[in-house]
Amino acid sequence: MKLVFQYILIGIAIGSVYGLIAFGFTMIYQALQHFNFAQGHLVMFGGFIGLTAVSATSGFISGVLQVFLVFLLTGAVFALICVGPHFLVHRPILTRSEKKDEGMALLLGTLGVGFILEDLAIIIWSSEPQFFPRIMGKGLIDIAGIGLPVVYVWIFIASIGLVVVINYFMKFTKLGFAMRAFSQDKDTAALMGVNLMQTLYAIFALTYVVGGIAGVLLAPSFYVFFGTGFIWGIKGFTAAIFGGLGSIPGAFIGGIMLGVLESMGAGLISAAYRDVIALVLLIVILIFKPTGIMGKKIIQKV
Amino acid sequence: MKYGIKVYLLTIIIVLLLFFPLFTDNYMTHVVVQAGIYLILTWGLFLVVGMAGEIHLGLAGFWAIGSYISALLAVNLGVPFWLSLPIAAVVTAFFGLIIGFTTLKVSGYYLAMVTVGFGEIVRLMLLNWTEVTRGSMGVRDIPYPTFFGASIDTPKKYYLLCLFFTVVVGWVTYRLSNSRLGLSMRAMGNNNLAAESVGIFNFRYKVTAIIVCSAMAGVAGSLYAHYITYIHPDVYSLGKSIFFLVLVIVGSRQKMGGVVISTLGLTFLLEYLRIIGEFRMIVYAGFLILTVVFVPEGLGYVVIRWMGSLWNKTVQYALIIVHQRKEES
Repeated sequence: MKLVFQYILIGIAIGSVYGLIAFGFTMIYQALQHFNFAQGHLVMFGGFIGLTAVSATSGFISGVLQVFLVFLLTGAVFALICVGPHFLVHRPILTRSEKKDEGMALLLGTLGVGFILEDLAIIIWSSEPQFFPRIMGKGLIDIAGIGLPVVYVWIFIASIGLVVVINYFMKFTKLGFAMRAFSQDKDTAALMGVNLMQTLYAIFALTYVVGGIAGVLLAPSFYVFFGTGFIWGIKGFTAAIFGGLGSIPGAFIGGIMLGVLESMGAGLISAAYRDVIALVLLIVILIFKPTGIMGKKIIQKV
Repeated sequence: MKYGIKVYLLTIIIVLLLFFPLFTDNYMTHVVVQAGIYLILTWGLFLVVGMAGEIHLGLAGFWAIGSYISALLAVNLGVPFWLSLPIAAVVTAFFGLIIGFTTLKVSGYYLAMVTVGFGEIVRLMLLNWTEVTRGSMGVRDIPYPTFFGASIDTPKKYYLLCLFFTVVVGWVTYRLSNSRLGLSMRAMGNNNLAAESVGIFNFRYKVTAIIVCSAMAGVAGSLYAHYITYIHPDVYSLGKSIFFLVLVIVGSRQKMGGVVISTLGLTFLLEYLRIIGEFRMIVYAGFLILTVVFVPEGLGYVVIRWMGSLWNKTVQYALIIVHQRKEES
């Protein structure tokens, strides 16, 4: 019984990071009704950037401050990385006059971005799985008699913190306001003086930053490896669908539920089928309840 | 080009292709055989992506099922190639039927993700269901096919077998894409709602496209297994599924010929780019981004159109010259 509780707690911690990945999918879906298929690769790349940030900062700083600095550095790097895809892929495709194939083009273009990230990871770092240093604390913490590695507590706190910060950013800053206006109605937003292209960049940059930080958060409990991009992508997508696309709290709850189910399945059935659980769940949800647990029914106008 | 001329030209090309192995070495033939197997897969995918307008990212899963059925039948039960290939095709088509029926409600991105899920589940099952599939050891010593007692065991001999199947599959794809079925699928791909409103039963055509695509993947899988003689679950990764999708997109979603050009071109390009090692994938991703951003109709389509206009111009000049000669004499 204790073991089951431990699986649940670990599942909640990992699931909150899945929620962050799902946030990326949901955010782009709300703004453009399309998906960014490089989201998983961002998470993978985030792990590598985090690794470099750790080795760069570990000389002069340690503890919580270092963790904080690593997050900041990773976020900054990802906001910069987003410039390339913005000018090469997102902007040319979305400003095209012909709208018919926009979705397919964006899907394939972002897939291309994902490939490039994967290849860069091999070239810059290596194709070997790498171990992430334990900067988020080692040892166990005792929660009501259940021993839990302390790193999971930090992962959970960090993801909750990030969600709170994003929520504040979206609700109370000018840019966040512009992003919400962009998602609701692009033409009206443009009439009200929102710079659409800047806002588009801001939206993508935000999802890039969140993806990168999610990568750093996942790195301590999994290896940092170049081939994991699609698995993270599928898990984030499943969580986003699970929570019903178009609601950010839904994405987060979907992520936590997926994490718990996966952790229980991996612990109680077989660790080899860990990834199968997310995939089967995805197929079952898509077939039986495509609107998710918190989603609204989508009415398509002809 | 007129239909009649097209048929003559294609016949001449196929007859010329029969003599191709006489002029090349084994390595070159090997690359071409591989391209031929990929071509069978991409033509199947062309029906789903190009005609029906759906995104299919699980082709490697179907390919793997075809390979494993054929290989395990041959290794465990000694079933000959000529029997195991149709069995593989039928079983794979049956899986296509299941996927087609269960994804009735979903389309677009959701179908894309369901197929990703299916492909990955197949790969993970092949890796972990060790008693049947031999897991990560792979299936080795798959027998070569035989043809009236003669074993087809070199790339040059296999080339002819592969050419036969490629031509058959190409003919089936051509007939399908120009039949009533193909036209309905095109209508569906262009505008789903408009097609539905003129009485095209979307669901039936979508499922048909997926079933035909799966059967072709089964044929390709069987051909691949008996050619390489050793199969491993890692060959059938998601990366391969995406590779096939890229081939169709970079080729063309309207013309079968465009797919041929992209498949041959990219297979050779990736083969010769082995020297630049890791940067290979960046070149390949570059092609993808270039195509979707600047040439949405496909690079292969552009090449085909250019070749067509070249042909027309040649014919025109030839006619003018003939006419002038007549006037002179």
